Amino acid sequence: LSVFLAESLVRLTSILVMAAVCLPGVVHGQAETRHVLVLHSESKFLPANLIIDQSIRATMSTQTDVPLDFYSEFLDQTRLADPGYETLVKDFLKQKYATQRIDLVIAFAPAAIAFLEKYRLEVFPGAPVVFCGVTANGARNLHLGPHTTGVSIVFDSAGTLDLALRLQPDTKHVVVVKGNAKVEEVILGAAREGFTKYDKRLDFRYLTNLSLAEVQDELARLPDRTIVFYISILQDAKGAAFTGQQALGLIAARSRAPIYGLLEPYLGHGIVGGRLTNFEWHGRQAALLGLRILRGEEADSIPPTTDEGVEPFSVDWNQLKRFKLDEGKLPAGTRLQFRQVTAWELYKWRIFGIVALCVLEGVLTGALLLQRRKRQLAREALAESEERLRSIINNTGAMIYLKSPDGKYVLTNKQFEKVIGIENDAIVGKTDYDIFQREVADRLRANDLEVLRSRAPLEFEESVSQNGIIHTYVSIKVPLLKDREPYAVCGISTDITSRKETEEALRSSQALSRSVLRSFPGLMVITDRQGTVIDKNQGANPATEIPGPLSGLNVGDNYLELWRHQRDTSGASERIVAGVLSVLNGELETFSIEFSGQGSREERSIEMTVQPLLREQGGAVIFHADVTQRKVAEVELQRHREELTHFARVAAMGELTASLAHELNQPLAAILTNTQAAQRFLQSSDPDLEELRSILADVIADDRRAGDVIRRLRALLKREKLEMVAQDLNTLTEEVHKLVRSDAIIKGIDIELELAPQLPPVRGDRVQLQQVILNLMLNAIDAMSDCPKDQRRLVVTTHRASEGLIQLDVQDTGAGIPESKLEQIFDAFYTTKTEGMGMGLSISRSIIELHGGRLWATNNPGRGATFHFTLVSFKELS
Amino acid sequence: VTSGARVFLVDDDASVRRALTRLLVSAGYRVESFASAEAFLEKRIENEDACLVLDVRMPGLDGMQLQNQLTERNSLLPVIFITGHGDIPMSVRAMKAGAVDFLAKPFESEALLGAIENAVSRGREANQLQREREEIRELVASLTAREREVMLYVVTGMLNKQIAYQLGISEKTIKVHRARVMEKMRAGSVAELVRITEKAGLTAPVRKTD
Repeated sequence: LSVFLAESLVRLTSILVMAAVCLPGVVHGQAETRHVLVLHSESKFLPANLIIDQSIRATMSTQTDVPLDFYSEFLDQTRLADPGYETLVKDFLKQKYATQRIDLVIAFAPAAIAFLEKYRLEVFPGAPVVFCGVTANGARNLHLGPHTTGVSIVFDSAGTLDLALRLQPDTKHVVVVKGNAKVEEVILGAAREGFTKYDKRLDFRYLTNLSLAEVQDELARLPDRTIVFYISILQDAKGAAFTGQQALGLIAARSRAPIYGLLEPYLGHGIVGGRLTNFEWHGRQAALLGLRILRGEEADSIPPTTDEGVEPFSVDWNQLKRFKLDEGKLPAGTRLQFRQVTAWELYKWRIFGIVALCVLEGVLTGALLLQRRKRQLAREALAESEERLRSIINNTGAMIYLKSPDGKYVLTNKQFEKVIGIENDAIVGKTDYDIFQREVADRLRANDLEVLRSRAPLEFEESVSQNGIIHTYVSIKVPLLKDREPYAVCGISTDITSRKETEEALRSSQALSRSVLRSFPGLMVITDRQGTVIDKNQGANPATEIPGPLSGLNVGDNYLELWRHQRDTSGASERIVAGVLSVLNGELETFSIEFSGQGSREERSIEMTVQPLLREQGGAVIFHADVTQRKVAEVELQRHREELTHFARVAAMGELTASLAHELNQPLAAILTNTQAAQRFLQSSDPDLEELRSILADVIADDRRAGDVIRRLRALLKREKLEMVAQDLNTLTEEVHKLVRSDAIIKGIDIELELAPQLPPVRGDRVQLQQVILNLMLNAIDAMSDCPKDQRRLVVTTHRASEGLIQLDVQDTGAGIPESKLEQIFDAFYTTKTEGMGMGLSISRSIIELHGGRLWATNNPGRGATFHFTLVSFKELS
Repeated sequence: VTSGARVFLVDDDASVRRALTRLLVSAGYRVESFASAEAFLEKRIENEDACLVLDVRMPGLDGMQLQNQLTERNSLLPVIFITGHGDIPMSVRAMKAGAVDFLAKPFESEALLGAIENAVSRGREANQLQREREEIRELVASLTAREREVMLYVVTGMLNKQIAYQLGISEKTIKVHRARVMEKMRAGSVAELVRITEKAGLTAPVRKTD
């Protein structure tokens, strides 16, 4: 019922609100925008001003749908008291609103009203004025002229003292605190009127014209039976400006006595409370007057009103607690703010409910326990006889189980638990479908149903998969009857798997070998000791077609005879016969050979492998596979690798051109200069023959030098078959060094060669090994391009790594390689260079691996990285 | 051929050094050759009739770096670069840094000899100009502050009256200063004084405008 009532109320309210909102719109239609200006006396950040401003805007814009445009101006008169300031503001506002018509001015507090008294016609000509924030006394003496109305404010100091004396009846002294702002003088004036009510009972002391610190000190040493009456401090005697809340907070912290106040914004900042002036409410009153004017009422026809406020008293709960004031003494209707409610107060009814539930639960539990005890006594009698039967059932090696007619297990024994792997308790209520695969469960269920239907014991062979092994059981299933109707099936199953397995094994191994034989992609021939074919797989699979003489081979033919009658020039058939014989005789474990056979279109490569047939009588298994595709791919791969290697070498040479040009230009320059000098000598009457001779010697040497450069270059670029011969790694390194040297010089890099003496030769291809060394050195030079010139150092070392292993290291002082990239850099197309292909290291590694060695990279303990490769020494190989 | 002039030769290639030495000696130069820039820097070079033939690419300090060091030491020694690896950016850089010529190896002997002759005469002119400038600076140093100021106005072509107005002193005083300036600067005419001050790189103050 109450819910219904509440809903109706909400609905009714919303209808009313909608009506209130819509009506003015209906009356006025689409109205033009009206411009409202609120003129404040003080700064924008004073709480009272903020509250008034927001309240006026909120009230006006929610009560009409005429579009409103608000302006707010703040005279800030307390802080800016210069006499010239007022006219400056006047001129400023006049300019500012020269082109903007203002339809209504609301003036808050005396300074704003006084400003309008002087300048209204000049600044806002024609705009009606609503005043607010002045006392009724002040309002009587206004000279605002026509088109004016307003609402006066009440500062009920007597009301605040009423409250204070209710809470602290023995109060004798009142200390009134006020700052130096003009508006505070006005409020104090109003407050004094109220003080007269108590001037016989209380003595009043005024703390004015003091600094905030002085006020704090005064309040810290107040006598007992004193209260503080806080007006406001917007500015202290030293001229420091505050918001009234700030100042209050600072003095309240030090005050010995409770502070009472007049203004609502101070509640929560240190006053106990009082009869407080509520600015939100006040702003609302002014706004409502303004709205009436905007709707067309003449301002002068609305008599000024007085805002009596909305609540009798407001009190801060925290302050009551701080001064241990009795909440019970508050007058009825007091608004108690900031109260911290206890859990008990908040949840009283909920707690009651929970306790009641707990009690009820206890009663029920007791009753149930009693009932259970009774049942248990009856059960114990039965248990003993049951226990005996259970131990017999549990100790048999057969699985015994009882199932209900719908297939649910009712009872199982220990053996069942052991085999199935589900605990007895957990199996109750489950069916075979919960335990076995569907097909298995189907068969078991069918057997059970048959027993139930026949109502007689039956025997079955049942197979169940357990841990991937098929177990076979002989099951005797007995229907349990009651009134001639079966109510359960009792089963006893005995495992007969091992007997079954032996039968099965033989059958499956034959099937297996047959299917393997059939699926083999190639020709498989099985012969006896004499080489007579006893089985073969040919025919089942098109991939087994092997060309050549083998195509006509049949069971019963002699494999050796077939090859003996072949005539070929390569000698393959002779080797095949010899190989097969060796395996048949047990001389060889396995024999393998590749030969070519003429296929339907082209020559094919056949790989043949012979292995002994593992049986007492002996024999051989001979595999033949067509490896033509694989061979082609291998050759292709080799060719690609060679092309790529060559390409990389040419690319590396490209990087060296600058260096090579220098290597050639140097001797050419010397030759040209020498010969031209010689010509000059010859022009003299008495040429120095000795000098000419040494010139010729130099020319010859330089010519050879140039020739050497060309030769080294050609040797490195030459594309020839691999020549794996003994090589001196030191010589190879020195030759590469000569190519790289001048490139290194121009890049400011010192190359050091630390070559071990008497290094054993390695086996390899000169061009390819030099290519690797060249690549590693060029990489090292590149790696140091960003490092400071005086730290660029490239060291190439050769040494014996271990027994039979020769190692070469190329060490740089570059940035090094991130640990995660140490392997990745050897991937094809991995590159950090802008112009590189990323093939260098990949190719280098494949070259070294082709030589049976290893190439890897490590970071140096200090700067840079080192690339290492090892090669097997020539002696070790041969 | 400018005989008796000295040619310093820096190249790391011994064969090139030998060949160039033969050529230059046959052309009448006194040749001193060095295998590295460092070795050359150890030698104290007098401002005399000389030039430097310098290989760009060398181990250690290279040719460009050597040129920079010489510039830092206010050397007037003209530089001719020779290189086996001449490219345009490199030659532009060298010429901007004040090289007289840039020859790519191999080069014709006549090209080198021409470049050297040119370089030596430019070096001689530079030395001459340097000497004159130092002399003028000494003369200017002998002027009083006021005389110096008056001189700077005189070389702009101002009359005594105008200078007097600019400096706020009497025309008569200016006349006295002017006579002293001409005497101390050993200038027979205003035109000569202008030439002398221009040579020394002195600039006139901006004229006051009314």
